Amino acid sequence: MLRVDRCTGDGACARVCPSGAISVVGDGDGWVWELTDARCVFCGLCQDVCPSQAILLSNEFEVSVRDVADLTMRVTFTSSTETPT
Amino acid sequence: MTLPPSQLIVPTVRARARTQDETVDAIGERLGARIRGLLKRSLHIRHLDTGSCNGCDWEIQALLGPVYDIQRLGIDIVASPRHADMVLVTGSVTRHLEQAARRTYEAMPQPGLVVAVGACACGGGVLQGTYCTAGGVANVLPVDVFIPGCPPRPQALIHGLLLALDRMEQKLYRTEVTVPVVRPD
Repeated sequence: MLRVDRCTGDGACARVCPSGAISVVGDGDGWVWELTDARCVFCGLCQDVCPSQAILLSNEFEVSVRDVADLTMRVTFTSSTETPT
Repeated sequence: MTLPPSQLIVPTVRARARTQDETVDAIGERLGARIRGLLKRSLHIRHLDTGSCNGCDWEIQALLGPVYDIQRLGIDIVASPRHADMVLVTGSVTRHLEQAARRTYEAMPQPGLVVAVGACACGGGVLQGTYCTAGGVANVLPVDVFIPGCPPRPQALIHGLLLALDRMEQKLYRTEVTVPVVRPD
């Protein structure tokens, strides 16, 4: 679970992720936060290192999908609008 | 101020265990009713290990244990893919097991379902991009349902089986039947 109002895009989660499931890519105007469940090992390191406590691991279990593309969660932050989509 | 451990931990753990039991009961009943309504018999599953670390396999084993006990819902783990409606694939398909996985799929009676269990089976997991694995079951077999998790929780597995039964309904009751193409050797 990502608390979008707290994410600052510093990329600490992406650097610490042991399996490379999280990627944070910035382009000056904002950043794209992306998580792939197909690689996530639920170690919780991202939750530990996030300086703004934006990541919370939950007990949610209805995560099965039919298409492998649905395993990827992408959040786009735009600094100009201040409202993530 | 120091609190005894019982006051710190036990209420949370107990509360969580209670909600999980209720979840398992509710979703288990849905699964049992779905199997009875769709198949009119039990669902036979073959478990295929293609180089997993045994974490996912233990979770599947936990489903058969006294806590979850999915056999009461009409699910049986069979010893051969020739008897199976569904194959639960764990692991990221190592090079040596790639051919075995393909043969297992070919031995299944159609329509057969392939369910990828765990992060490794879904997309390679921590082994993605290595030389020794195929990087996920989807690169070898036509996967119907992906269950992510490392390992997936038993509730997640039951939810994945529910999704797979929806796919089974599509395969059973459509008019034209096409056999999915398997990549040749």
